[in-house]
Amino acid sequence: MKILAAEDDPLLLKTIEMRLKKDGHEVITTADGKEALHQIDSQNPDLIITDIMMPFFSGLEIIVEVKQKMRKKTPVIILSAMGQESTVVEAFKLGADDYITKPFSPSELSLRIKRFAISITS
Amino acid sequence: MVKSLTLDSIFFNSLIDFSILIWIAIFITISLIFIILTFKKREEKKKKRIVSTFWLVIEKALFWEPVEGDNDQKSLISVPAKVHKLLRRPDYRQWFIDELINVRKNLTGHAAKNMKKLYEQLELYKSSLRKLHDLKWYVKAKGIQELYLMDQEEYVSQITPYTNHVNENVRMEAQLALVEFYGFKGLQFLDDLTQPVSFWNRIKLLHQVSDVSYQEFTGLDRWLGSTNDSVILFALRLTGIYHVFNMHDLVIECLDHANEAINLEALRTLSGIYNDHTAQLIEERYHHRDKTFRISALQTLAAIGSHVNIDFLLAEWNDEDPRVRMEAARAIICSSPEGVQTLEKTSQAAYASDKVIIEQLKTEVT
Repeated sequence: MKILAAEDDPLLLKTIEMRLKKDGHEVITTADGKEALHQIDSQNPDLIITDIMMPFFSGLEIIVEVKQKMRKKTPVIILSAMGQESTVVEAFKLGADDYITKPFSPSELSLRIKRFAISITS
Repeated sequence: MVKSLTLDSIFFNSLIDFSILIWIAIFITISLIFIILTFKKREEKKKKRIVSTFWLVIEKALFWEPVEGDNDQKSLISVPAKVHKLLRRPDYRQWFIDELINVRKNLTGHAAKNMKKLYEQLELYKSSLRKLHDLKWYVKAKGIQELYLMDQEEYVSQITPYTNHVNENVRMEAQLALVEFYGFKGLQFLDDLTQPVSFWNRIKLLHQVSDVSYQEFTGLDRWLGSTNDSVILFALRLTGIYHVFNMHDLVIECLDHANEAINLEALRTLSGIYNDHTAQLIEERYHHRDKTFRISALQTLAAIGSHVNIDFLLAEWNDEDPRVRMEAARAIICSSPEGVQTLEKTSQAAYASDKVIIEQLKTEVT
């Protein structure tokens, strides 16, 4: 599965990339919202993992672009920090498919992606 | 004439000398900036290269699992000799610790546990412990932070004395460490605290305890009677947030404390732990106090009052101070379903602001 991971914390982005590559996915990484949107448009990933707070475009703006403007059905998982509950609700309203709260277990992320992989491939 | 010419030439020569000096100074400054920038760039490149070497180990550690049957987790994460060699240098070791901490902060589960394992296996805790004895406060604070972020509970006895350190940042890190290790029980350091707990410190501690599951408080009664005013303020905040009803009488005593900030915090706390007598106890103190207390008291009565307080509040509705009248009116509306009608009936022609107050409160109610 081709997965786009957008996260402005380089260490976390690296960790996500490693985990996903270990699981056999093709991974595209970006550290800001602008680059993420460009990659979504050009690479057409099967799944998007995005942080909420990012430079240029936030995770919420990415959801709006993907789900409402580009009208893609690509699943979007958002990464939120503790205490961002209201933003998570907002993200679901905009069309997010799942969320993970930071700090998180890479294995949990892996399992959640597997769930989407089954529905995408079936 | 000759004298004037000589003076002119002296002036001209010194001007040339001065401009040469300026040019030399500019040249030296530019050269220095260039050297510093080149050095910094080289250092950054070197750091990037070394950190990427460290990441080979971190990557392995992230997904490392102990060999089957190793219940004591004695098996080790393999670390190349090259990394061991790099870790001999204190600055490189610090870079490695920083990377481990940043990864651990964002992760949970096995990956986070493995970061701790790596920190212990490479004896990096020794570097953190050494920092505790450094003379610079920020090094001490960093050492404490590293130890608790890496869950080094076994060194708690070395951290505890710093909970009462003269430097605010050092003691805050030590206090956070204890809460991180023991949750609510970690707050026992408040028993012996003589240094103040700053407002920011209280926020950080509350945030830290909010992450741990609630346990029964022991010590709250002692902290409410502490000789350290900031401890009382913090205890009041805890009492209010966790609705510790059995502290009610001690909180009432805080209304008579010599420190006004404690009186006001006690009023706020009572909104969350009141009983049938609370409003009466506030009313008894009301007339002996200054305007700040009275306004806060009215705000508390707005939260806890009932129809039995209406007569008292109506008397305040006639006060000559518009702020007092405003808060009294708000309390009347909150205490009785017929509050607005009561206010309209009793508004005084002498106070032109009464109508404005009632209209404002009507919009708040709706």
